[in-house]
Amino acid sequence: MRQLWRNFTRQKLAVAGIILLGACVAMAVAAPLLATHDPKAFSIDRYVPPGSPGHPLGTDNFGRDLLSRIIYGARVAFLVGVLSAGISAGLGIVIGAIPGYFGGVVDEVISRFIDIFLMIPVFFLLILATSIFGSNIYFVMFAIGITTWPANARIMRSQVLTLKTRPYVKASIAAGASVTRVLVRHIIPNGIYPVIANTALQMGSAILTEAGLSFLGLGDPNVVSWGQMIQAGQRYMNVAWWMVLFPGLALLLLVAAFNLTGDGLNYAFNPRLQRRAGA
Amino acid sequence: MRRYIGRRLLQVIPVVFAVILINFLLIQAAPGDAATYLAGRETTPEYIASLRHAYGLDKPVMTQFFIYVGQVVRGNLGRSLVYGEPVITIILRRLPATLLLVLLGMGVAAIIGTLLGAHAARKLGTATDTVISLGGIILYSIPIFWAGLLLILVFAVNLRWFPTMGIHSLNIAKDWFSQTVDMIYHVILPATALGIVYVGQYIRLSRASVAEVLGEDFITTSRAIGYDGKTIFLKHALRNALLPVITIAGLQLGFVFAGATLTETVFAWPGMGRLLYTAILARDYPLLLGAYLIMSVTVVLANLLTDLLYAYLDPRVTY
Repeated sequence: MRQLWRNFTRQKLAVAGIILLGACVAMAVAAPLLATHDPKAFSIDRYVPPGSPGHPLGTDNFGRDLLSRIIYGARVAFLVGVLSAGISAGLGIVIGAIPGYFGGVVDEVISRFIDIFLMIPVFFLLILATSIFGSNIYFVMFAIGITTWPANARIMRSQVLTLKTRPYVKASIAAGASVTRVLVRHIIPNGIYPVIANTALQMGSAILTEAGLSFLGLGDPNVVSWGQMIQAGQRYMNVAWWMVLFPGLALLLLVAAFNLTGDGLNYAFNPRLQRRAGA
Repeated sequence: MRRYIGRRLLQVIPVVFAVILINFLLIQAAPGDAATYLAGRETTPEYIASLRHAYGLDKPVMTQFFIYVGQVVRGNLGRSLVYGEPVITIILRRLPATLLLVLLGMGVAAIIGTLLGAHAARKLGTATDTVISLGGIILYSIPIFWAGLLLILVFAVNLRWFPTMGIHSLNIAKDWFSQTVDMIYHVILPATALGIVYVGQYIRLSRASVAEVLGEDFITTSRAIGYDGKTIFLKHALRNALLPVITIAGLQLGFVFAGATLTETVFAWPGMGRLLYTAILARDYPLLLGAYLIMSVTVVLANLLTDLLYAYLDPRVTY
């Protein structure tokens, strides 16, 4: 564990990523303290340019304070990232561990199944599902989760294949431990690291996916999400460019933070790559 | 080789089947009767009844499924509610514009990104590597539609260098040459928006792949033999590293089409993406279902092509 931490902190980009991520978490948690305005409150100060007193990032077409909306938007972004990627990781671990462990026909069938789902273009499925079932933010998160697990399943499967041959796992099986016990006690805890790294990356892409759906008009109208802010700003872009610029920057920074962290974790978990990466 | 192609073609069938099944299950799970979805808001009871009969909605679920499969396999994806034409006709008309955008954006991104990533891998751990890697991650994290909007704001609205939208100007000569030039002029901004994000993707892929190959024994051996660094890099490392880049890029095609959809929406590019957007706004379900199916088939076929290209390039692949 300490070795992992050292491998992680040795990479400048990964450290930058986790600091940025920490700052975003702090912003989301402390949103009510940081925001100067109610993110949903209309006012008569419409299209106030950024840098104006009281509105550092300006206001939108309804006179809502952009900074406050972006701060509250971080909560939605984290919710989307964590829940979607969490569901995806959970499903991926279970669906990937089983074929890896049992091998044979089970492996053949489930692996084919994983391959099929890996090829299906997820975004279009999400468009279809949200236009039929509505764009409630929890449904969107659930939908992203149950469509993105195949990548995790594939990673988990190959992890199990490697770990299954380790002496301590064989010893445990020989000692008569049940399948669940071997998987839960020995294989999953030791094989989960690449899935964790991938989950950090998936949090970023889940946030981008939700933003993309929002941009296509499939966002949940009851929440303040960055993607929806950009969509709303598109029409007023010529008079209020800041309505488009700032929420997009927020998205970019948070997603980059997740990607930097995820890549950093991947290198930290994979000493072979690490050795050559050097710094 | 021919047998390999045949076997890979057979693997396409389960994917297409899975997509048809998903489509079917979505319609089944949707609130209300499938016929009301397929018929749309402004319809007559007669039309709903005829749909019920055509899709056999009065029959058991399994029978319904086979009827649906039969219709889809024969290319009958229903009629668009908005356009009133068969879905398949509309989609096939729109597909070329999307393919142009995707191939152009991806092609340029692949070349630039692969070279940058390979360069970073060669300078692993140096400041150059850090800058390129960071650049790659940032580009990769950009919301694609936002990139498009900013490009419009800067290069179309403020600088007026490029048109904001569409694929053709209205007042352009009808000859072949002017039309092509005009189209290139229109495709530059959307292709850039799409390409920017995938440059980041290729940088990451090729950096990891080249770094991996550079650490292998045969590289050390050729170094010991005394080949100069450039020869080793170009002839051995880069060539071998390109293979995984091709495969993973193939697997990512679904995301590229998703990106293209968003880009087309921003630039009013008359391709599949723009079509999907209007279909979403109008809740044109037959069109949405059909578009999803065609997109999936396109992605799977493109994947197949990537695999064949891989098999052709890598003599280690046994057919």
